Amino acid sequence: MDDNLGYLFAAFGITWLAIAGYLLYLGQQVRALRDEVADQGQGMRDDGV
Amino acid sequence: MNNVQRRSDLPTQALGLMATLILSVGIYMAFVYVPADRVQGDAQRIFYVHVPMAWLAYLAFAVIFVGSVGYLWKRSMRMDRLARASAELGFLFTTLVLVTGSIWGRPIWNAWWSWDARLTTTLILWFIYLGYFVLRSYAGDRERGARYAAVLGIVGAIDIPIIHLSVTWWRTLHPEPIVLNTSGPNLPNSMLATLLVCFAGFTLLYIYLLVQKYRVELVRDTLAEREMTMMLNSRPHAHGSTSQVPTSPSSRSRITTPGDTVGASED
Repeated sequence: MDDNLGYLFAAFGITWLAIAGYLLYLGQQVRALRDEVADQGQGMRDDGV
Repeated sequence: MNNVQRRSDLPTQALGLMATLILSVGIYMAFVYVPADRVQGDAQRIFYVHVPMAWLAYLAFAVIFVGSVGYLWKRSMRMDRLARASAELGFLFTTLVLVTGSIWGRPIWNAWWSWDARLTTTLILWFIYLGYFVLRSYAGDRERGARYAAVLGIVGAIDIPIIHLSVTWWRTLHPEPIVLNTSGPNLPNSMLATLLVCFAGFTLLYIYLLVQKYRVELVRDTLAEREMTMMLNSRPHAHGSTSQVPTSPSSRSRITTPGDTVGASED
């Protein structure tokens, strides 16, 4: 049954890689939104709103 | 980040930390503490990640169902946002339940896939999640997209009890429920303890991710509203009018990632 270790590590590895990938993707969304908030704030100041 | 924001993020950060700690214990238990299954060997340990993924796929859809009912009933954007945030997570966990199940099936069934009732109904759930995003993208305007998605969020929830009961309704290859069954958990104490720790850790992780994703959606909605207001204000006929871009404290929001904060709108 030692051959099954490969399957075991694959299942855990894929799961954790997917969750880590999702966290990175969420972080990217936050950074993009932060830039957008800054741009909009600048635009509002330029417009004197 | 000011002190007020730092303090208000503490519960979320504590949640993330607790999920990490419990999942670390869960991984240790799954690999070291719990003995290998006599029949399936080490492949059985996949169970400690596969079963919690299935639970989260159900839980995420239950949250979509609640959010969808809330949206259609009260027209509450909060509820729609909650459903939207949970849908992305549900899609991730349903993908993982299919992938880990397939990896387990290869050494145990000698096949990556079988058109078994449990597997097929889970694949249908994956397509329902996919349809949920497609409906939102192609609906045209946001309100219509939210309405269509809410209807799918309610109708699609029917698949959850079907998935769970498929192993008792039809003759399938998939093992029958060993935790959530009428006679109680049917597995050794060490395995049950490991599974419960993994359940707790992954559930906390789901809640943590849901909070973060909800905040992202909240800022996105606020930005879209502001953009719309700015467009209306910049129209020539709008000059001199009293309409203003929302700049009140209620339109300022805040989103965070682990150790990160962005200024923007409160719910």
